[in-house]
Amino acid sequence: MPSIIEASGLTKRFGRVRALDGLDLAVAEGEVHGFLGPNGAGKSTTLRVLLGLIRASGGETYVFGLDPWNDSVAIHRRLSYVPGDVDLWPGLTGGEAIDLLTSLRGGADDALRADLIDQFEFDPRLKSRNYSKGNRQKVALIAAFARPAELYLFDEPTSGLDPVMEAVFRRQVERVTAGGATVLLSSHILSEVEQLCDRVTIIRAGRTVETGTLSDLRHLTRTGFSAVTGADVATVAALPGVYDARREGEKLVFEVDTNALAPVLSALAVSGIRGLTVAPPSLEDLFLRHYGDDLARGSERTA
Amino acid sequence: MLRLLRAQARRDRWQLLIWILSTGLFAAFSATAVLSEFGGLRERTALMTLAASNPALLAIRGLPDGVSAGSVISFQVSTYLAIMAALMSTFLTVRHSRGDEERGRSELVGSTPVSRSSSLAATLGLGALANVGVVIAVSLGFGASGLPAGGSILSGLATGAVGIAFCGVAAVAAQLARSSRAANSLAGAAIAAAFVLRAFGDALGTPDGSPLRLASSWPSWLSPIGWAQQVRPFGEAAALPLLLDVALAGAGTTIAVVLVRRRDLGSGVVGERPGRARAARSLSGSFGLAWRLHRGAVIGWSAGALLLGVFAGGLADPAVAAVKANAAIRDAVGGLVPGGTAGLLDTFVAAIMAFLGVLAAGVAVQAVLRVRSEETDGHTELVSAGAVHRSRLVLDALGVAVLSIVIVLVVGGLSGGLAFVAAGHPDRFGITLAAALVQLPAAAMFAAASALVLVLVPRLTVPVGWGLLAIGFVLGQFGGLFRLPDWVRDISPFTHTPVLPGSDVRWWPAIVVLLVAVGFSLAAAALTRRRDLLT
Repeated sequence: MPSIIEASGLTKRFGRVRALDGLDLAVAEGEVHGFLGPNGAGKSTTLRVLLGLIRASGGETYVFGLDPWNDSVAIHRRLSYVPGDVDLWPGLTGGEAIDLLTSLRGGADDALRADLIDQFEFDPRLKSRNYSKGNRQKVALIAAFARPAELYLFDEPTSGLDPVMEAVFRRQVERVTAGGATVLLSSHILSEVEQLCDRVTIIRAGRTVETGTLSDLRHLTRTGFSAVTGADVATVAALPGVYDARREGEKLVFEVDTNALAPVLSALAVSGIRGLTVAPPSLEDLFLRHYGDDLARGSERTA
Repeated sequence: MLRLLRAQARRDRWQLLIWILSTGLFAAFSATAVLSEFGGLRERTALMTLAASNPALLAIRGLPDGVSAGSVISFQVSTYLAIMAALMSTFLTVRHSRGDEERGRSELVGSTPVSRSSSLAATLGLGALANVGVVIAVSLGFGASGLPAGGSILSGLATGAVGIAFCGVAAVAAQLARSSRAANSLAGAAIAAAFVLRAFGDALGTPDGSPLRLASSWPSWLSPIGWAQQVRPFGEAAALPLLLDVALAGAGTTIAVVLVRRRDLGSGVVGERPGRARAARSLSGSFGLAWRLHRGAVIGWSAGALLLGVFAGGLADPAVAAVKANAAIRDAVGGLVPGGTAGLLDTFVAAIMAFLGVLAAGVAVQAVLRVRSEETDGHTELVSAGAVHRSRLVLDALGVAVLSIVIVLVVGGLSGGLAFVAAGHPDRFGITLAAALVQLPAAAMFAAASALVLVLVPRLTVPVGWGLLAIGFVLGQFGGLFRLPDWVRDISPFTHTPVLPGSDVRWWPAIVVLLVAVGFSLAAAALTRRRDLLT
């Protein structure tokens, strides 16, 4: 499959700060690609480079095979972008802002626009200064979806949206990808990425640390077990690939590496099982193990 | 509250220091200039004889109060000192009240155990302190130039009183309007009204005791700046009118406190109706947006231009009468107002139109500065992600700037021309409109220079943009008074504006200015291609 976005060895310096430090990213045509990283990892900076809003200090970047800095207008005609923090013109109504933003790309599809306003339960007649963060986000989302594009760039698009609206957003992403569009979704909300994305790139401190399909990455995750069983703690803990085994009441609780599941399950079967709960591997878990130290310290830089 | 006051003062320390110091320096500089140029009683008497009988000079300067050195200096600059204090107070008050509220800082402060009005109280406290600074700066500025101590201190007090009065006005404006931009415009309009009222009042003043000591007519008594002038610091001084300024400050504070206690955080007093669900056809594309954002400002500046035009026509007859009454004036006046044109009426129109040029430059600079505020407010990111070239944003702003200049000049020129027709001078219509339109190159130059700064040193855009305009204004209005060398005055684009109406009209300097402006604009647009968006 041809790549819609291709970045290799991307660097960006702001004065002395290295916001991006050799980042690699490849997004294939038609996929929904998750772009994960903690705050300050460089997600927004990467998106701005891809948009040609800022110029990379080094590395190669192509969007639709074009150079984002020099051919930004040609690229922008074919994409929709929703920034992470949407600031609107206080004197314009939401409806005016939607029309203005779509007019910059050639105008909205009116039926689509009306349908989106309906689905997002949005009141377009209020002045923008009265909108909450979620409603401002809706303006950018409606404007992005109201005109078909080949590529959609979302920077933490659901921040401020309630779960019902998050579902509307997911439906829209499914609609555009069914039509063949490509989506790059930056996020630190893992459930969102898990539900939507085919492939994921994880970055940290301006550098790519993992990239692959979700199942590729599952080898890095552990499955949580909670079993009511005759086996004792020491026996289970001694099995290869088992971590944190402990007894909680009558239950035995432990975690298992994904590639060690089969031997652990047979060992349990031998000891007899009266009850079993298995928590599937989650990106949350993967994420925490990659960034556990960062999350504990709290990140100071913002992307 | 003291803690809030300290925090606000800390944020503002450099800005306020610059305002206060430049007010003091302006006082010292102009006093020294007048003392050296009109050191003798004869020169001063000649000057004031001319001034007292010329409504145009009275309007753009002040209230004649005899021929002592201090009185002459007061006549020349006290109005402008008062306007500086008023502007400082307005910006300060709005910045810390509506400005903070708009940016969500007030919400943080409001969630702490302080009363709803304590932030406002802290702001007004800071305003009072800053104006005490102005009082000291002006007193020292005048005193150090060798003027009597008593009069210098009274001048300082008069300036500071106007400042405090406008703290109160701006506090109310910040409660009424919903955005800091609207609040600044509202309070700015109040300053303009104060200036215009006293201009009318002083221009129509009548001799009081001596021919060189005028009593203002009633419009001056409606103006906070007019009240300050009635102090006559170097004549028969009377500090009592300043109580009117203080009372206005008190009334403003009371109203603002009542309003802040009654309204919700973030809301204005002026209510809001639901707006359009769809954008009008004109609000489309980046130029449509740039125009829409600037439209309100254009209306505001045009209202100023309209007043100025009516003012020109309304004073035409008194001006002609003055010429008829004293033919000797005609020859001497040419040296006092910009350009050396023949008739007094010509000089008068040229002087008013020079003011109109400043208004046009102001509206143009504001159009360009908006690119910067759009960028810092995060709006540019949304627009630039559309199919809009980076240089388009600057070119759009310059296009809007030129359009705004033309509108302001046409409004000023037409209203001036029509006012002349109404005053029985139909022959003046065409030349008045032309005198307005020739201001375009200089005004465009300010927009182009601001655009270049915007691209090269974005952080300095706002101070440099307005600073250039202020320097241009001072060089144009006071360059002759300060006896500045020609090369310094030539820096200002206004110096190169053809003096219309007049006999010796030189066009090529304006053409050169226009070409330089076009060059600057193209350079700014080209350089945008090399610059990151600031986020």
